[in-house]
Amino acid sequence: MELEKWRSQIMRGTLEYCILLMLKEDTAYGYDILQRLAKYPLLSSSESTVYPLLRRLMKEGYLTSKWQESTEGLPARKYYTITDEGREYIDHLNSDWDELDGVIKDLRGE
Amino acid sequence: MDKRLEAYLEKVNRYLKEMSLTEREDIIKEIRSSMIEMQNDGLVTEQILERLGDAKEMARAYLGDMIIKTKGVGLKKVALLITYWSVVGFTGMFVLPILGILAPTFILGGIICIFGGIFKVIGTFLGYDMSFIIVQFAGRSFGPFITLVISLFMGALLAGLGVVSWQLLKAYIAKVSDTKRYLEL
Repeated sequence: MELEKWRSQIMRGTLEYCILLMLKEDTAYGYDILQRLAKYPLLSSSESTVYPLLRRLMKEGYLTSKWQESTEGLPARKYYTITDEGREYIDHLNSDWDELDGVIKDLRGE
Repeated sequence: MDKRLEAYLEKVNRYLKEMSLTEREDIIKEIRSSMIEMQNDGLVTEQILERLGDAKEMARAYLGDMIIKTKGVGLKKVALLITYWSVVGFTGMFVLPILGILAPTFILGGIICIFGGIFKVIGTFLGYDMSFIIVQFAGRSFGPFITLVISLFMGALLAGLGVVSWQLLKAYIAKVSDTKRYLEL
């Protein structure tokens, strides 16, 4: 149970970082983001976690979105694109992450 | 789509009622899109519902930020609300009755004016002198045709003023309710 809690806490803290990194390379729609996260068991999450998070990132100006209407049986898809502020934000997150990584390595005596 | 999925969306929509309509529509559209993707991936309704989780929890996840934001009814917010209601109360006392009376009166007056001119001309053709319809200006009154021209012009002007008052009234009401919605968020 403790382990699960710890995992969910890590997840909560890093999910937005992971999503931003994904969107850094290319635009993606919500379901696609979920499918890509599902490849990593630690990050696997559902709509109720990821969609509100995407919404918040949009409100903070790190992402923009655009609906693309359906073609041939596919549903309408909402595509997310990173903004310049989003890229700047990633830079900060990168340096925080590197710092944390250094701390952990140090503490583990590596 | 399956009725249970529609019911799920409806439920989420209801729990999100504090949000604006456009925001809510966008959220529902995105969840619906996910449902169809899952169906296309071969998931059945039960699996879809299980993955989405409880509708209330789903709505709560969206509302999360909002509740935190509105929790602090700080001094600033109270001051804003007082200002808002003072301005609305004070301006409403004049704007609503004045524009509310002016708009229909102007429009009606304009229409009567135009009909007056037309009736006078028709009356003249038929041999009646409608002496109760006259245009007087600087102590002079005019013949039926000039009366028609003047009445058409004045009628259009009055009706135009009425329409402008009506638009102003609508704009005022829209602005007041928009600001109110914004303050309530």
